[in-house]
Amino acid sequence: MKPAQFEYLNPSSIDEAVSLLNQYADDDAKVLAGGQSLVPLMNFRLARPKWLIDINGIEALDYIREEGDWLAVGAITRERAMEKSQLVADKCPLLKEVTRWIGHTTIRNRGTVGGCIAHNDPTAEYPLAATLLGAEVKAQGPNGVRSIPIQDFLVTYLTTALEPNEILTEVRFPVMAQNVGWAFQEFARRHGDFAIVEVGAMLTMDNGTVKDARIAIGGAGPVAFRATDAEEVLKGQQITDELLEEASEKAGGMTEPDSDVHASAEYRTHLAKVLTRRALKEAHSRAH
Amino acid sequence: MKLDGSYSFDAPRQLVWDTLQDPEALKKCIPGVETFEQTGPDEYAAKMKIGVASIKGAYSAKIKAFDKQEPSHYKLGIDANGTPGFVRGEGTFDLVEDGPSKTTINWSADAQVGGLVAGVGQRMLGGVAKMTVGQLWKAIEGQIKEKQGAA
Repeated sequence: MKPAQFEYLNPSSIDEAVSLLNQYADDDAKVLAGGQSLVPLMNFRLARPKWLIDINGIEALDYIREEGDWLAVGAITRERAMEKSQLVADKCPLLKEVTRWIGHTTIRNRGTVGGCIAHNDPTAEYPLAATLLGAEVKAQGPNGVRSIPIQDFLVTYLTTALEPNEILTEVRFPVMAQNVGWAFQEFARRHGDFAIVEVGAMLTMDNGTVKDARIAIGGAGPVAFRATDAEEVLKGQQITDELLEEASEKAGGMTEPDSDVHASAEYRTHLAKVLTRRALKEAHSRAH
Repeated sequence: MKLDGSYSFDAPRQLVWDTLQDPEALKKCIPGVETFEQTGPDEYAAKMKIGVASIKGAYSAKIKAFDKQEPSHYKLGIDANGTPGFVRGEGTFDLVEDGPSKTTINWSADAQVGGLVAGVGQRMLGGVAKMTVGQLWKAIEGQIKEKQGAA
């Protein structure tokens, strides 16, 4: 399969990329990062951008840095780099774990953190991790740089708050506290397939009771979301099987899944409950 | 593919009905519509771009309204062909009067989707279709408000 005809542009700086995008934004321009979603879509001719602005040559967008309480990740940082980074393993171990679940090694060698979040597939791992951690997205347009909280950034299926003339330049993940217990659970038919449902959980314990709880669910609605009803049930309580059951029921109640050939809506809700319970159990066992 | 949903309007049922039967209003409201023409009694031809983000397909659609029971019920038959595939199906619309100026529309659709979009886009097809219908109701609501403002 081959893509429809397009014009290829490869800027070497962020400013140049933004200026090109601004020039062609109203004429079907698309930013190319790792291309692991966009290129297949172009080859199937479901996406037919007229202008392709390749940001792979912009070295200034390739970094993983600790900045105070944040782990700052440049947009074209490869997923494989996240998997191998000691800094990620130390500061945001959850990110290292979820990365392993993204496609296969060859995909992670090319796929980028920024591309994954800007594409916003409802089952993708990074939008879920970003939602769970409370990440922020930096976007640069002709009027400068702005910072967008992840819950405002992920709008709906494959749609984000990025303006047509803005480029995602950085994703900032809060550094995880040492005592937080965390877990990530995903169900897919085969390893490397798109997830059917995925759940991430973080628990902070204080003398045997839950001080803070965060739960995020992907694949059970248009975008990854925080299961706040379930989080509320847990706060201030001691973890028991009954409480986990109640929390997972609440989490299931917040899903808005659709049926398709892979799974029915009912099954997705069921999975969300089961995976929430498992994730909370695992997170609890790791919290100290 | 089977879909259903509902939407509530702060408007009398007759006004909602009139807006939904008004080709000029529909032309302004159908998401991604490029042309919309009446080709016969209760028959329309439309060209539209439907999809999400950069994945949009251009379709030519024939739409026929039938089984009309003013102001509470009608059906639409749709036959659309485009570069990424085809959509053939039927939609049923019921307008329920919840009060003098409150109307709920309950809709359901049963559609056959074929071609590339059905294969590759399968995972998100239902969700995106539902979202697109939601955008339609929102736009219709805007039209109704405009009419109410003018009156």
